[in-house]
Amino acid sequence: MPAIALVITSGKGGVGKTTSTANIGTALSIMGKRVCVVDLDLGLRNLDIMIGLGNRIIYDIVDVVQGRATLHQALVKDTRFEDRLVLLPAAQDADKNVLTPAAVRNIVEALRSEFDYILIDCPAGIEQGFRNALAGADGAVVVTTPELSAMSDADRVIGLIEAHRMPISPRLIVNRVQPEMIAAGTSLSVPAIAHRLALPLLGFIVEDNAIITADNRGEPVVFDTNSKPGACFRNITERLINPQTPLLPVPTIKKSFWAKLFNRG
Amino acid sequence: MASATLKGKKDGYEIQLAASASFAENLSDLAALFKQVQTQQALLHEESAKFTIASGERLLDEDQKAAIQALLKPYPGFQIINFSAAVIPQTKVANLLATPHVPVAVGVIRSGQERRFDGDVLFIGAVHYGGVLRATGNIFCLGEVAGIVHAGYPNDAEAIAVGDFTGATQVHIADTMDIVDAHNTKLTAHSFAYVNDLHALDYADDIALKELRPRLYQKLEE
Repeated sequence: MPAIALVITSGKGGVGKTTSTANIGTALSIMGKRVCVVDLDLGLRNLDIMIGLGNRIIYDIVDVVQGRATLHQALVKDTRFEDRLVLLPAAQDADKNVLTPAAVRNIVEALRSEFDYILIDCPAGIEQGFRNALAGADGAVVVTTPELSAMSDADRVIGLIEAHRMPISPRLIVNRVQPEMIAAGTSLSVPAIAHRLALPLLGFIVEDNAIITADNRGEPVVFDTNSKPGACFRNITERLINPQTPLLPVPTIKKSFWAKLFNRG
Repeated sequence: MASATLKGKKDGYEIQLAASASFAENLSDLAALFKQVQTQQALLHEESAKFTIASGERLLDEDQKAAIQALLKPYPGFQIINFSAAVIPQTKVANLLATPHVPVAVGVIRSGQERRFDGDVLFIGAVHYGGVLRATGNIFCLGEVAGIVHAGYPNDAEAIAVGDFTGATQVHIADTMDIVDAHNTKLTAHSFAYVNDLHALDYADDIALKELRPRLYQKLEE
């Protein structure tokens, strides 16, 4: 069966697209799927660092498009998963406009027969890089955080995705969920964000320092079976494979009896 | 059974013609009926009678109506005041269908998107922050509005915008606009926006529509 190509996008930068791509890609590999993660963030690549393959890049996607390398020469295999996880890195020193939607579509088509999933890490913004990423994808995963600015950008991106009419409907990941803030009423709840963006929820990731620790180690947090974000990413991945998988319950902060009595905390 | 039957009404008689019979049968039975009525009228010393001809599912053309009128010649006191039928001509139906109704639109208008409508629109859905709902006529909005609504675009100051705009960014009507202020006491979930006598955008309770836009109110009632 040919691969399903999904673009991980958000509009706004720094909301967790690359972290999500690295972790979902890794989780899919752990679950036995053959995955190719494609970094389209030309000039600002870091998917390789998050997966821990930064020191193994020889060729990149621009080399492939410009004929300096074949597609297979540019693919970086992750030996931790018996080569089930493969990275197609972005160029670090190339012009953003070198890639075209047609070129990305051709690359994705060439990868389809060898993988179960192709995850395309989209650059921030809605310009050329975004159009390139959309061109090759069958569906989209939109990442947002609970901030209004991120949600507004996500909404803009969802509109563009819907206009693109992909075969698979877009789904939402809410990143950096802080149960304390939700309990205090200073942040929207996860269902409220999904309702506000009118998009089905794929999952959420709780804010946790384990993500930063994992990033610094070059090991996606999904490896850490004891961490909350790791559990969130595994749930997201299971829901990606099987949409019937129940959503992980959003952690709640329970008020103590005295706090409830005096309406504090 | 005769294909023409007589029924007494407040303002005269109604003669019902069975559409299942041929028009020739209708005419024949109608002639017999008029004769019978005339006999009864004579017994009551009355000369005049008014009739409505109800032809049911048969739509009578002008020749058929003239043929019926011709049956009254022997009875100068008789008068047909109306012809009625339970059907209407196809051309009239086509005209009715072509008459503009308020179009219903559904969906989500997302950030960066704008949906425009010619004339009035009943929009069922959500206008997200950064989205714009624009119509040349009135806007009736059912759903959450966090973006911009613009009725009467570009210059119809008679247009109104109806909906819960308490969470909207801006409301525009024609060339007037309001940056929605949560402290505006006139703006409620049950108010509508209109352009007042001073040509400024204002809000009023739904019940004031009859007073402020009587023609629109009448049109909506119809």
